[in-house]
Amino acid sequence: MSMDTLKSEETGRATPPDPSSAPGRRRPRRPSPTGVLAAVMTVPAICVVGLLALVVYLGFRAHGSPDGALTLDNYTSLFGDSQVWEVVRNTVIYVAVTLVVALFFGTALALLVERTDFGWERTINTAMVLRILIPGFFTAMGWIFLFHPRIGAVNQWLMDWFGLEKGPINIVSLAGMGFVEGLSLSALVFMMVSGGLRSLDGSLEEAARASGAGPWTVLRRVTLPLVYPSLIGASLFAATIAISSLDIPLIMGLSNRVHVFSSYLYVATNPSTGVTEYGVPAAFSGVMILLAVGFSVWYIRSLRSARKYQVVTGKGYRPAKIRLGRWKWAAYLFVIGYFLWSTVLPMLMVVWISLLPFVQAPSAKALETVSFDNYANLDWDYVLRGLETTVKLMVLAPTFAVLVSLMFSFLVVRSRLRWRYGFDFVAFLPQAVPSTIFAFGALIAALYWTDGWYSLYGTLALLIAVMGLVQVAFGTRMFNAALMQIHIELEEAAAMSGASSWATVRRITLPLLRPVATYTWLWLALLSLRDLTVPTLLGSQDTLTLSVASWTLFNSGQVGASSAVTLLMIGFMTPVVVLFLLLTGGRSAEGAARGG
Amino acid sequence: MRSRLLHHWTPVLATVLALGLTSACGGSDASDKAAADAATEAAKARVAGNPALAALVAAAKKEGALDLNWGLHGRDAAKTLTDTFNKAYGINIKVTLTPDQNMPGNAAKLTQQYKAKSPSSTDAFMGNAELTLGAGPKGTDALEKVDWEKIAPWTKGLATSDGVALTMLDQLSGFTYNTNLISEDELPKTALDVLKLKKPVASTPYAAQFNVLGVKEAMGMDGVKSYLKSFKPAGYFGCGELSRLASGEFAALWISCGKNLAEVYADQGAPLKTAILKDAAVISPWYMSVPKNARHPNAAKLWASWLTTPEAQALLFKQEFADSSKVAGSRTGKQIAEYRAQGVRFTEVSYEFAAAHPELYNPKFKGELIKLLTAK
Repeated sequence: MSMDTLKSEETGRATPPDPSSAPGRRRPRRPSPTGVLAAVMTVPAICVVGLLALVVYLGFRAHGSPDGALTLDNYTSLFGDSQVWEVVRNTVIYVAVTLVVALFFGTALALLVERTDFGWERTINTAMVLRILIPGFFTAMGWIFLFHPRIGAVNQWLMDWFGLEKGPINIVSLAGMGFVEGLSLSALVFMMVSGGLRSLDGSLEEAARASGAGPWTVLRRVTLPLVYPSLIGASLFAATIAISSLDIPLIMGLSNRVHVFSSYLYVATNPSTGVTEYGVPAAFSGVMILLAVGFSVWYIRSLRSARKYQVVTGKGYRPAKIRLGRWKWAAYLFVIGYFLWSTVLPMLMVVWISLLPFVQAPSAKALETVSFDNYANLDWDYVLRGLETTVKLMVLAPTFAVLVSLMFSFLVVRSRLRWRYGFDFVAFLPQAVPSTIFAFGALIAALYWTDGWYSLYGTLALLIAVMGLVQVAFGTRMFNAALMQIHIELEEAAAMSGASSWATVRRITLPLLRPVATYTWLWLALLSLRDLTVPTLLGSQDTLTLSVASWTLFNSGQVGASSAVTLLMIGFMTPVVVLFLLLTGGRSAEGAARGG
Repeated sequence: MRSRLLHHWTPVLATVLALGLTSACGGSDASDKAAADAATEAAKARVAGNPALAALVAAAKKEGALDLNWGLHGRDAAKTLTDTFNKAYGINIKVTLTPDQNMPGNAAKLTQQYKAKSPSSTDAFMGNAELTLGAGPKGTDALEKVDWEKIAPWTKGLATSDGVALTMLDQLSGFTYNTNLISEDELPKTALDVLKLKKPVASTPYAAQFNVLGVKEAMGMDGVKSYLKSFKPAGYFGCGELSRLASGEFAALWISCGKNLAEVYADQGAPLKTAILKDAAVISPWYMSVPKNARHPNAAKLWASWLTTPEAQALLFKQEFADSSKVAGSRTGKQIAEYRAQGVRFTEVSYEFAAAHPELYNPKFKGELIKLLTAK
């Protein structure tokens, strides 16, 4: 039932007669607010679908150019090109390793925090939020400096101590890349799984234990099956992020010619021959879109059938905690080791490299060359340009995303439109389809179909629009959940008191949504700050972000300067993160989980 | 006539005088200031005698900006050069520099932007002969033909035959190595010696300069293919990423794009040197051109032509350790002469060379070389 229908019925006012039934007089019917909203929201929905359709269309054009001849050659080449199959194989392995690592660490830490008496819940939650917000290329650089087979400090020490000819650990391999990406995404998995665990009824596990099942059996037979939807959601999230993200594949894989889908697309848009060839990449992206749509349908169906897992209880619920006893030290070792290797040591290595003229393992000899030259000699115009764009992007992209998400959610949750789930599906697509594909489509669309005064190529507006659309998936998950929790009675009461639809939304619904909106906005702002994927593919010299500035320096061999810029970026991020943590308190994990 | 001759040589004399003074005085800041003063004097003299140049200066001033996607390697190269350029002509153009060293990527972007009728992301394109030719009239035709001599008489002999580009500097390609990992007596003398090395030698992922060795006077096309079947690099990185050599990740880069890049690093204390191999030596000029869809074409022309002046070239060498061998007093030219005296045979990969040898730049041939080089 739409808001207007409600209003007319509940207030007892006469509903205007149907104009079609009025003989001789045809009065234009005023469009309902829901209808207007649906019409407005058709624009972003068309943009999302249009960008994907464009990429599919380019796959059938010679050279992937809009003015190219119609052809099937791109698909013939795609399925007949051994290099492409290598990219497919690499992507599958990379994503598989990422998922195994992310699910293992994320789930283990979540179980430790939520189901045992380990403690430190708030600290670990906060550390995990920070872990998510640390840019991927930052940890990638740190891991290279630690475990590269030739320049990695740990490898060099191992070679010195044991007289080895080669470094025993190769982090710049496919498995290594997957491991680092997995560590990076383990925080996200942790948040989603811990959110799921927190809301489960512990009595089921208690009953299993009372029946004589050991902790391992309870975990395997009761707990994990109950958090199955969270695990599925986390896996889908982690997999799509791993496929989309450019940071780790670029920094760790590019120079070793280990290409996965995202870096393959990057090389296609930044060729080393001076000639662009988008045909096969577009065809490849078309296949990826099909897979993503299939996954989305499956995921949404899984969620619907997941109702059988709904065992959330009310406020009186207390989850059962397993006493770790003698195993507490092992848990400490695991948690400290995780944070040390995933965050602290890579960070220290980046700090170290930022003080050197070129990469060297920590040693007395290297210590002699330590200086602040990389900071002093930074091109500050360049850095400030990056900072300016980053600030604009951090403010405008999340604002756009929050507004669009809010409207999508209103349509999906509060309207009775036949097509509302279509809107929901479209809003979910940017989560399932790699953002590299959206950026690729937007790049071509802006290049070929916008010029003169409305040229969008290389503009901040394009960057904001694409980034905002990509973030809509997260935003709608958040607002859908929040709107479902706000009972319709409140709005009905307002309508009965004579409030218009807009007044009801403005004075009842939006104030209630403010905490979620604030949380979502801040979270997306931080993700905008750290994102490298969309700005790398769509940015120009006018829309350079800090992350792209750092990557450009790294890619041109100025590793020290790149490390310096990355640390400045972390410094710039810190107050925003602190603000985020202060405003959201302990809701961070819960929110992220709901966002999924 | 006499006064005109004197007028023509005044800037050169001023530059030589200034350089002499600065080398005598020493001190970086003092020398930079003296160089900038000399550049200003020289520019004033040039503008005074050339209405076309004066008009170009006025037009550039009116544009007020210059966007450059230029990946120079010297720490202060771009800033020093652009500051001196502004000072020389008494203008205050806002220069936006993006240190993007991906020349082929920039060329592809430039062509794409031109085809899509979007403004170019760089006002002046800096590229090697192949990329400049590819974007020029014989290729995608994205570059403007300019009467360089009219606006800048000193560029006589520095422009390409079709007036599309000006020479900027010459890079000498060779075998760049880490001096801590490869000793003098291990150094290869020829391309074949590189194959015997047991140290991890890297290459560029785009097979830089190997196609050029396909010229008959060097290895020949079949010769370079069979050479690459035997050469198995330990890894790949771009020409500008010499920190990966300095760090010891690799012992050498073969073929490196220019010995000057290693000298930039060595100037900062990195243990890097370049050996020029007798049978595989390449001179690779860099060119400057103006895209047809440049947002600030006049500023770009003024900038490119100024970079070919002796005073700018002197500054360029100081920062980049390379200049154009075609400009009087070139130090790179002197190095080339010394190598030639030692029996080194250079292949000069000029714009005209690239135009005359399309077979070496054929995507199929280059693709084959890349496949051979990067085959696991």
